Amino acid sequence: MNTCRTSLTVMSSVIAGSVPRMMSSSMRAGAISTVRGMATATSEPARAANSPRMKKFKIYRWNPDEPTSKPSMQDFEVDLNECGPMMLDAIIKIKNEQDATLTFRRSCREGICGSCAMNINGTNTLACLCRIDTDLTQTTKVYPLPHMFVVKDLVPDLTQFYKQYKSIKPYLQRKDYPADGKETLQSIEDRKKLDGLYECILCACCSTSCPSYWWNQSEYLGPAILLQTYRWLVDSRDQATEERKLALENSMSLYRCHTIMNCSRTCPKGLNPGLAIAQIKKSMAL
Amino acid sequence: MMASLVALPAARSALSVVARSSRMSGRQLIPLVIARRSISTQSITPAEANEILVKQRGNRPTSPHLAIYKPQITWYLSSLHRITGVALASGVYALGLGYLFAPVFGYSLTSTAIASAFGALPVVLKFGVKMLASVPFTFHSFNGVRHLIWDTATELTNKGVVRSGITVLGLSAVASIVLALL
Repeated sequence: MNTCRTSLTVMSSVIAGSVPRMMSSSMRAGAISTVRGMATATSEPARAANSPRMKKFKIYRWNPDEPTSKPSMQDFEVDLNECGPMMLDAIIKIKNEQDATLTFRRSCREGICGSCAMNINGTNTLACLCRIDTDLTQTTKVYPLPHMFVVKDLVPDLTQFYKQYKSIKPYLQRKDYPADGKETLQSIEDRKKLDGLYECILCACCSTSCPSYWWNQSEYLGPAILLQTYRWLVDSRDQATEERKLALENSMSLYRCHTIMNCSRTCPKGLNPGLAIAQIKKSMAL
Repeated sequence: MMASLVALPAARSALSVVARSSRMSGRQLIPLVIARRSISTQSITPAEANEILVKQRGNRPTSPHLAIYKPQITWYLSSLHRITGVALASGVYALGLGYLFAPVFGYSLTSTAIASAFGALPVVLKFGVKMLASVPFTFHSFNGVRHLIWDTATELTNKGVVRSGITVLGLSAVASIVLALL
C-alpha cells in the first residue's frame, strides 16, 4: 500500500539508485566479452539479468492551447534500469526523452519545496518522495491534485489556496514588544507545541485530498490552512488569539471539517492536520 | 512567459516550412529555423497577457477527484456515515408523514396494522427487513460515538482512525444481527 509513504532519507536513496546503474553498465561490458570469447548461448543469462524492466505510466494531459479537446490519459513506458527510484525521476525522464511538452512543477527533489505535489496511484503525495511501484504488471496512474482547476497537464491552479493562506494572517501579531527591545522569548515547552506544525510546506496534498474541500473550497479553508491557523493560535508569542478565533466563528471556514481524516492519511511530511483542526474546534468550544 | 506562449504556434509553422523544403541540406536548414523564430516572436503588453490568462481560466477543466481517489477506510466510512444518517432521517420522516396522511387515502399505518402485516411475512423476509433498519441504525450510532471521542482530540492518528473504524464496523455488524434476530 505504502510505496508513497517513504521517510525523508532521500539522499541515501538517490545514492542507492545510482549504484545499479553503474553495475549494469559494467555487466553489459562483461556480456560483450563473453560473446566474443565463447559460444553465444552462454551470454543469454547475462542478457536476461540486464534486460529492460519496462514500467507503464498513465499520465493526465490537458493543453490550454487546445481548449476544445478534453483531458486525456497518455501512456508512457520507462525502463526502470535506466531510471532513478522516485516518481519524479520517472516523470523528468519522460519529459527529457519522450515528450518535452509534459508539464509539471518541480524544484528541490527532496520533499522540502512542495512543488511536485500530485495524485499518484490514487493518493496525493510529492512525486520526489514517492517510490516507483516496481511491480511491472501494474500501471502507475498520475493525476494532478484532485478537484482543482488545471493550468496544464499536472499543474493545478493554486491561486485560491494561497489567497486562503493569506487570509489567516500567517505571521506573528503582537500589541506590545519586550521593554528591552530584543527578542520575544518563549519557553522550551511552548516551543515544543509548534513541533508537527511548523514543518508544513504548503504542498496542498492534504487540502486537495479532503472531500469537504472538494465541494466547498470557495469558503472552507481546508486542512493545510487550518493547520497553519492552529500553528499561530498555539504560538505563545502571538497576541491575536481572540481575533483569529473570531475569524473562524462561522459555519464554513472551520466547521466544514467532518473529521474525514484523508488529510492526515495523505500528508507526505507525516503531519496531522486532522488533529490540529480538532484542537481548534475544542479550544473554540471550551 | 506569455510571450513565449504566443510564439509557439509560430515556431511550429516554421518547422512545417522546414519539413516542406526537405530537399535542402541540413546545414542550410539551421539558419532558416533560427531566422523564422526570431522574426515571428511577438512581444505582448501585460494587458494582452492578462487577457490570454483570463481566457484560459474560463476554459480550465477541474481535475478528477471522487472517481480516481484511492478507496480508504477514512473517507469511505465518512460517506457511509452521511448516507446512513440521511437514510435513517428519511425513514423517520416517511413513517411519520405516512402515519399522518395514510387515512386520507383509505389506508391505515397504525402500530397494530404494521405489526400484523409484518407478522404475516416469512421468517427470512422478516430478518431482511429488520437488517435494513438495524444496519444503518447501529453503524450511525457507533460511528457517532467515534466522532464524540474524536471531538475530545483523542484517537486522531492514522492508526487510531483505522483501529476505531474497524471496531465500529465490527460492533455494528454484531449488534445489527442481534437486533434483527430479536
